[in-house]
Amino acid sequence: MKKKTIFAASAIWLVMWVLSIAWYEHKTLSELYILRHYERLPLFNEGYVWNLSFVKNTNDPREVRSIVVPGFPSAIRASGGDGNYHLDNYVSYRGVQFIIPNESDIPKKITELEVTFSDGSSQMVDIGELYLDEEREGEPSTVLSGYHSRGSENEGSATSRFAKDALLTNVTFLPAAVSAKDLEVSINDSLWEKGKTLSFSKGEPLKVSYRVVSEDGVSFAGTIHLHFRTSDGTEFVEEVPFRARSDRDQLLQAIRKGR
Amino acid sequence: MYRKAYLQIWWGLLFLLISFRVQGIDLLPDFIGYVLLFLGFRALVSLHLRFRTAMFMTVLSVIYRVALTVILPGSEEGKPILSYPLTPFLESIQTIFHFLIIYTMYQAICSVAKMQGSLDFAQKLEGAQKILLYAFLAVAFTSPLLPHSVDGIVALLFIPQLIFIFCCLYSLILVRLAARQSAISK
Repeated sequence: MKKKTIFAASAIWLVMWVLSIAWYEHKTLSELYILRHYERLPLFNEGYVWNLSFVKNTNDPREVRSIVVPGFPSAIRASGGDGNYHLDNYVSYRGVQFIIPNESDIPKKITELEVTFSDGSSQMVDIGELYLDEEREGEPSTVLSGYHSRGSENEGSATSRFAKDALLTNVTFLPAAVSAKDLEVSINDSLWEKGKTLSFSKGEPLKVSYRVVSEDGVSFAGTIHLHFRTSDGTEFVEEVPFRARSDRDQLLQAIRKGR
Repeated sequence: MYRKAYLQIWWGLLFLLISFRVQGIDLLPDFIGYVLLFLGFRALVSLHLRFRTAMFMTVLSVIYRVALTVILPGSEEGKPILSYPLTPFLESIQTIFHFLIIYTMYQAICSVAKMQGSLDFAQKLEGAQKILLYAFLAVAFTSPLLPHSVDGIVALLFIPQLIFIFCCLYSLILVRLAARQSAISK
């Protein structure tokens, strides 16, 4: 092979890598970003579960060790989220959960969180204005929300991507009116994907995966028909409208913020 | 004597190309592979001088590998400190060294085959050499795209990688054949 050819090929190869790295650096977030996509679920009238997600650079080697809400009692710390879930090559997200007892004397408005990393450093992260009690009034018997709405059935998979025509959402609901341990739930719906009968233990939100088709690939809405049957044979049906949006918009917003 | 050298190269390639991990420990460490390759190539230099180039490439690869270990010590969680796309970039340079070792080895074995009058074998080697080169070029020029790949394209980008891996594994068969040839010519 001619030396000139080798030299030219090497130069092109190097330029490709330089552009690749430059583009990657341009796209990634400059700092941790908390998704303002959160949900609060009543936990059998004992308190609240407050979920939130945050995204960070995949090239940031630091792991998030703890998240503390200023003003919260120190016992209320984030738990759950055993790893970073990659949204794409640039950012990963991690869901965390706060369990907040009813009697907690906590601030009703939160604007920032204190995140501690594995290298010992900590950072205050602005999350806008979140009002913790805005949903407490008129609390429904069944709270349902969609989140992690991504086009993959494997939540947490590194290959999870957004689908353009369908979004899979993990629907979480907690029927407050019945005893959880005696409860069976079935969903008669063509969209239902994962078995017909479910059971769950008290205190744990029931999560089901539900595929819905979205026209714009981002938002989706519909009604889930939940058929409940208790151990004494009582049956009842609840129609739960739901509306959710993909994380995609917030992710894009996060990326833009990082630029 | 030469058969033994070829077998050393065969084992060296096996150690280098295949990772067999049990509970995080590589049972076929690359370091042993490099040593075996070096010894094999050194023994064959007396058969043909082209093996010296392969030996030189092996030494360069070892030096780079050591440098890479120093640059990428790995954090507490075993993740590299460097940013994401820089790590595959440095690893792709390692691939270049592996390619050069196998490519120069093919050239040397091919020259020996021609010298010994095994023209069929030499032709086979030349064919394998070409496919290896094309597969390598495809890998080299698609790897910068991998960090930015999207659904569907990822699978396409991995096709050249797979072909390149098969080409490298095919070299094991060719080295075995070369060992047999050397035993016959002896």
